[in-house]
Amino acid sequence: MAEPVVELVGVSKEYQRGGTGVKAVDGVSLTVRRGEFVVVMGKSGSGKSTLLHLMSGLQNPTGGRVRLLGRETSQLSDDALTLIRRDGVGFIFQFFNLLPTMNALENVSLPLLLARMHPAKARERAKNLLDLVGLADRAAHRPDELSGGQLQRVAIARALVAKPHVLFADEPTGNLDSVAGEEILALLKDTQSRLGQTIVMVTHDPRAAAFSDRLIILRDGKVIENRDPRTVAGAAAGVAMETPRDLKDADPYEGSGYF
Amino acid sequence: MYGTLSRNYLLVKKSRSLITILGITLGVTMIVAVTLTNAAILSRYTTLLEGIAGRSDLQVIPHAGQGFPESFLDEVESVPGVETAVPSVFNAAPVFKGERQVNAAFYGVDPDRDRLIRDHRLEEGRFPAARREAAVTRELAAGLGLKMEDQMRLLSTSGLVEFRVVGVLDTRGTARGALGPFGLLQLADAQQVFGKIHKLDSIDILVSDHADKLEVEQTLKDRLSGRARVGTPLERSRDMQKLLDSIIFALSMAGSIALLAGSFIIYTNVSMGVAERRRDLSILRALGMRRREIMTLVLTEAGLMGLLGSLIGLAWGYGLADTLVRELAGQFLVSYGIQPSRVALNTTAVILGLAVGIITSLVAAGFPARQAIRISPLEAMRPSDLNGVERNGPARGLLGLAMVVAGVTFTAVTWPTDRMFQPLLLRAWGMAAALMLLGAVVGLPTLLSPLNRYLLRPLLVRIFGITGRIAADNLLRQPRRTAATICALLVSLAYMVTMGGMKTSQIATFDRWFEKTVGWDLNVSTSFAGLETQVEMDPALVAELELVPGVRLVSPQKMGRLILGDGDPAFLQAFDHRKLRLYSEYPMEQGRWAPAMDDMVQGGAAMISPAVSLRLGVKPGDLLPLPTPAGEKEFRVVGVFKDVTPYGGTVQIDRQDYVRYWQDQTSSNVAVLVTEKTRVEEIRRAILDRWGERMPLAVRSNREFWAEIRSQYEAAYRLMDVLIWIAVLVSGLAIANTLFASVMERRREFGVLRAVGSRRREVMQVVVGEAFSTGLVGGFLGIACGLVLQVYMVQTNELINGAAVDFMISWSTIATSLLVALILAPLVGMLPARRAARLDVVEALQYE
Ligand SMILES: Nc1ncnc2c1ncn2[C@@H]1O[C@H](COP(=O)(O)OP(=O)(O)O)[C@@H](O)[C@H]1O
Ligand SMILES: [Mg+2]
Repeated sequence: MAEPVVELVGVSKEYQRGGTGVKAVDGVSLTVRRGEFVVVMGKSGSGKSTLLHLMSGLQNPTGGRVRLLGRETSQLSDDALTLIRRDGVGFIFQFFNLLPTMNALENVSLPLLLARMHPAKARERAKNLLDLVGLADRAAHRPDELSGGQLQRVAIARALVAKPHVLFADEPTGNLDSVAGEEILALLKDTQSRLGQTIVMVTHDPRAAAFSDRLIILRDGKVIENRDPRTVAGAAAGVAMETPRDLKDADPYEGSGYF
Repeated sequence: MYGTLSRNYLLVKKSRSLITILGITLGVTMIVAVTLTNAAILSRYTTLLEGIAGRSDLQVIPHAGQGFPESFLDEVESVPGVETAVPSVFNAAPVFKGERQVNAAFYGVDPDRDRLIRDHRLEEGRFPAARREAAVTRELAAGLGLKMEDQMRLLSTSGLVEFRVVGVLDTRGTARGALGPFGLLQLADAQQVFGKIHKLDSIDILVSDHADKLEVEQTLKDRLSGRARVGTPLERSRDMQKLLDSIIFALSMAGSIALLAGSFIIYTNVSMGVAERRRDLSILRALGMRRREIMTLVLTEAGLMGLLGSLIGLAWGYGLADTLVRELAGQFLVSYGIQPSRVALNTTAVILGLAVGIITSLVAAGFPARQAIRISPLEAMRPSDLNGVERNGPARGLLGLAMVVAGVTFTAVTWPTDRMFQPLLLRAWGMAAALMLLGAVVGLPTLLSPLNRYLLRPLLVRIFGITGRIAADNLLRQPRRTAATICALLVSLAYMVTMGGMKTSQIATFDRWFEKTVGWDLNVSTSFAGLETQVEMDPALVAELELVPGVRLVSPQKMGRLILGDGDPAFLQAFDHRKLRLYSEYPMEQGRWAPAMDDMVQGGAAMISPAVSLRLGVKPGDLLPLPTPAGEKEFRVVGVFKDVTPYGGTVQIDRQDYVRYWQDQTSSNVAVLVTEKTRVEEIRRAILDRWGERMPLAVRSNREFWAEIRSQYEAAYRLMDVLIWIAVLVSGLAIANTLFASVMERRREFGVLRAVGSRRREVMQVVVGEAFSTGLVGGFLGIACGLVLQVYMVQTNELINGAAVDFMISWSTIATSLLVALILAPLVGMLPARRAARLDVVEALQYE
């Protein structure tokens, strides 16, 4: 069994709203393993985004423990978490969230530059990534000159450029027409199968289930299903934490030939 | 409905509205303070003049300070149509009782005659009927603790003189005019104690009902031509306005700059409000709100903030005016023996403050309001993404350039070469400067792009790397807003550099001039010496000075104001040049000192300052006509000397001519040379001791005199400094505000940056980098503009008030400005930077 990249044990997130607590995520335990493509589905307001934020360390849980790349997020300083995000985690969002003043290539190289990689090298790597997402000819275009599908491709390239151990995607097709959405799903699937990229994707899109290795369904913050959509009889999430192993230094794309 | 929406907006964006209101408040504060100050000083002076004038139709007053012969009275009375002519003498002087001292205005009148013109009412007692009797106001009596029949001591030209209080005046009479400590003496008595024997300071005239006033005025002018001024009583207030003009102008400039900076804050905040509420506004549009209504909505908010800011500004301005008046009164009123009146809010100031505050707010909000009405109702349905980049065409740049060129051209074309500045032209130049500034604001956004590409971006990338790059890019996101912020800093720093440079230049010029020109060891005057009126020194006293052991030379100097042929005042100096040449040498601009002295000693000659030469178009060798009580006399100009006094120009004549034409033996002060320089202090003591109780004298050493004048310069600029720092404060507010605006608008981008791995410190760098760039551009442009403005002020100062100024750069001010620009701006930027760094990543990412 591949090693765990994200592990959640009894994780809850409670928001205070008007004096009463709302449990957006309620006692979730699950493990995402390297190379998996996990899809999280559920109705609007069921806690999908919150779960993603907890898994990626953007938010801390109010209960339970989150282990991201072998480190427990609630025990890390903001800077340490940021560095884990920078070097080991990629994000894509429903609204593509590219910086409007930068062209595609610059947007893609941003994480590398933040990590103080040499600009020429960062460019080179960013070019490869744009090539990977099929936008090599759009490198010099600014976000306002690209279509939605293209923007999301750039966002994917940016998310992948630092060779993250895990890619988190929150409704990446939510803002795209069905053709573009399909292409994005295919691209994500492609990165998983060709690069072995670990992906956790939140989506509404019913087609997404077919791409996933594992489907997690949430209702009112609770996991009501966690299974392999193809085998239907999904294995329950491993509750016991495995021995921590720092994955940060490992190259997740080792041997993939892309870089 | 707009009312509700507007109120909600003001409530919701409380902190931002506060900054907006504060920006307007500070600007309005300064405008109102300056207006009130001007009004308070002028109204005080005007009421003084009104009080003096009473019911008189016309007044005859001297061209220069020391009065005219009594015999003019007969001449005036003989003019047909003159029903009554009332002579008087006016002098301000200190009075003492025990330890107490009050400076008061004294009138020497013939009470019976004077009542034809002025209402003197007694509360108690009677009018002075004999020598050494006085009627005083309640205020003067209270100031000294006087009761009826008490004695008080008045400073006369030859020492302290005892006066008996025989009456207390009702302050509704003439005393109302002075509103302060004030006393009536018998005419002959006043003439005697103030060294004006057989002289008058004014003749007030009632024209008989059947005569034509204008005709009488003309006849009087013809008869007295060249010997005295004839006019309506209030013409004199014009002189005071002229004195006040240049200083008020400089102060209002500072006020306008603060207001301008404030308007940039409004612009930024309203445009941000519009940007933030695009969705709300487009929903309102979709629900059927018309463009005009949206416009009304946006402008109502701005108007409300403007109104609130102006109201607070009125209150603060009223408070600040009090300080200003006290500072300025020292220079303009004290020599009349009157204190400035309490500052009173007047309708002009209220209307001006409100109008300027509200109009500025509306205009500044007008631009974003225009954007608001262009919002399409469809926008609400469209998904939003990170906001893009505002683009600026070359048209704006050209427009800005055109405005700057127009301002420069106007200044160049109207540059006077053969005359002094008229206040009107000064105001027009102020407008031209405003136009240039506006041009800069309009054009700077276009300039910003190349500036960013070739200077800021490479620099920031060097310093901060990728975060610097983002900072540089962000500067161009809202170029108008960035430009407005830069301009706010630019103008306040430019003003700081100009004023600091002017101060340094003026003081240095004065220092050099003083070093060369003022060669006496001690200067003696009565303890009440001012520019407008003072207690002069009796010739006997001057003679006695020569008897003090250690005194080598005593040179009486007479100084006063003189109205020149062009109707404007100048400074008159009468020296004994036989003596002056022994201890002084003036730097000459035309002619040479030694030969000029030979001519001056002969009499009938005059030396003038460049301002007088310019005003009257006279050069060495020309004849300069001067009005004297003995008629117009011509003096041959023998030299033009460098002048540093700011009284509109100086005319220097020899004492013998002065005594002859003015029939005046008194002196304003006496230059004393000592036998041994080391004994100066001892000799000073000896002089003070000799007169002791008899007469309070002021004896200043060369150094003390120098230090006193220097501190006057510094005091004048201290006031300016306060205003400048307020302007800098507002521009600091503007920077912080703009950055807060950009942080809040782009919080999603900051969320993205955080999500892709920027640490808090790196996010801060982005914002601080923006602040740093604003400071850098604003600072350097500000310093450059400030220096240009200083060159221009140095060039024109002599044309404005007659004082030469040598151009000197104030390095300390430039260092301060750099510090403000390069340190304060990033420091101020730290506040919004912290906000950006502390944004909750998830919330920021979800923000629309
Ligand atoms: N910052 C917040 N404060 C309070 N409640 C929140 C906040 N964020 C999310 N919630 C609530 O938590 C629940 C789950 O939200 P979310 O994770 O965004 O759901 P989903 O992504 O599945 O639509 C919802 O009821 C939502 O209203
Ligand atoms: Mg969601």
